[in-house]
Amino acid sequence: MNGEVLLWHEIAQFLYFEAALLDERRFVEWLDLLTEDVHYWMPIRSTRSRGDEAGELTRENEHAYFDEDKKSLSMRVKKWQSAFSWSENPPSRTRHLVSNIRLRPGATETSAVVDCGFVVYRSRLAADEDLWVGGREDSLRKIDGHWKIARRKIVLDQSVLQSKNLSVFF
Amino acid sequence: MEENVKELVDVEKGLVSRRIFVEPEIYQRELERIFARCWLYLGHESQLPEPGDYLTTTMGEDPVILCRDRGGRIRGLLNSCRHRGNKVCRTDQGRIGSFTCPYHGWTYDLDGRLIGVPGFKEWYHGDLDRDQWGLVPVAQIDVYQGLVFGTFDAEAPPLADALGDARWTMDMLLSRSGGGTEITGGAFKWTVNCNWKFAADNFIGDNYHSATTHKSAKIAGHHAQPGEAAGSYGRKGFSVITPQGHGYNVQLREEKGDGRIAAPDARQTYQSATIGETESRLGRFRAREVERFNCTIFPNLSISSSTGMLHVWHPRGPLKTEIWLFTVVDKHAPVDVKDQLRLAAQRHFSPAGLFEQDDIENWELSTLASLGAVARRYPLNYQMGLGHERPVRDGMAPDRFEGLVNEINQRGFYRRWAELMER
Repeated sequence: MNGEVLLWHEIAQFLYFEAALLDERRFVEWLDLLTEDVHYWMPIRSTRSRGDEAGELTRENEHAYFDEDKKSLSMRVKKWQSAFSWSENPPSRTRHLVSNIRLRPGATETSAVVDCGFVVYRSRLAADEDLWVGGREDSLRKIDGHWKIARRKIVLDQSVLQSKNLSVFF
Repeated sequence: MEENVKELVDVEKGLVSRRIFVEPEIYQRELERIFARCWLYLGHESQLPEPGDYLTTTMGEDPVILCRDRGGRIRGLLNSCRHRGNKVCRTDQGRIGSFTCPYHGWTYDLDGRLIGVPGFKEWYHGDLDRDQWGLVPVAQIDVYQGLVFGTFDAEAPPLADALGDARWTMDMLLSRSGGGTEITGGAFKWTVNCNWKFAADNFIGDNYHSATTHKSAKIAGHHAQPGEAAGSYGRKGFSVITPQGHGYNVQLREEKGDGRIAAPDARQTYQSATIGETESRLGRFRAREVERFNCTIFPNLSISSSTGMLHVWHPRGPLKTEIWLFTVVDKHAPVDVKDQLRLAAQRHFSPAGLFEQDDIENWELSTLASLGAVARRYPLNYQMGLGHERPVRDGMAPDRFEGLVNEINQRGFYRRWAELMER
């Protein structure tokens, strides 16, 4: 029990630290938290009838807001850091709140699957506001004593996205 | 609104009033005179393979169901109960046997007929002409190369005539192969605070913006498919604008163009392997000489060939647009080609796309900075290339103008807009 609590605490601290890096726009450091073979995926959600929920999220060979590897994520960081990135210059002001952290059974000292809920608030320019609420499923691996994100599935609760863009990470 | 809308658009001088992008009265007139009259894109046949399959969309701000009825015919129905107006279908897509209104239970068959009225005998005393109270049908539905269009104007010319010379360019995406096309699973839908025309006007022929708007994506090393949005300066091509207000830019293939990929990717390999079939369908010029095209089908469908994108600019008020983005791909293309096109489309366009997020930033601020009383006094400038048009009529392609960087197509778009708004 003690070990489980410690592991939960360690992983929660890791996820809070990661969220802080994003809020502080330390994207290059954030990239270091991802494994080289990371898969970062945010499928699209649609409005379906009860009984047809299986079709609510797009599948792996269908469209997704993000379907990224480390190279494409690095390109996004490079783009946002450019002075000519009009969607991110002036930059977004974000707050990533991570909560409801649950370790799946079978977590070890070096490998864990973690579910959590998130609220990401964005303010931009004078009065732009976005509120993204959803859930995440992260596969974490410990490499050289440090936790890294190997796979992230992000599910937003909106179907028609009420935002002009997704120029932030989740 | 009594004033002559035509005065707001002066294409001879290349001037367009900012009022048409922000004023509610003009927007209401657009819903009546443009969106309730023109042929509008509704969906792709591949989304409705079986009877009972449906999807929901909008025509202007009118909610519409597109479904396949029991006889296999595609129907368009106003998604609004004839009793109290409630939506009879509230999901994006699915399969269903009939549409039942959740308010009082009026039930409509897949062809729109009213087939169930609770209390028909007891409370209506059998005194309701159910044949007169079916769902309002979209007046005409027709299909072009898999794309389903509809119009609420029973008098509108047939779809083929309404598309006119736009078909020449649409075929280069939709008719390359006899196997037809299909929609990739999943549609991007998102709301942005811009007038719908800024988006349509960009895709109809704005090759001017790429170098500035998309500079950061290029710095980051992002190149779309060859030529795509990577700037068209110095590239060979032409512009076509049709009397119906459809316009397209066609970029021609250059043997030693910069930015070309040395090792062919999956899409190029696929296109090379199938070029014989494409040439037999479309002829040598379109199969071998054309690199890519982008177009807007008036009023609110834009098509880009390089990654097979369909953008629909759904108006949601003068200052709001709901963008829907789909991709189409040859049904028989190999899986790696489909994957490549899907990834390229969504990484460059879509809400998170590294090109489109900057486009939208610009369209939003073009709209919002035009709201003020003073700004509205000053028209927008559409004068690029005015008086320097170089028309070409040689039968290789529809009558066209040399060059890719000009505002000929935008002027034609607003000419058509003004014609429809006036009548």
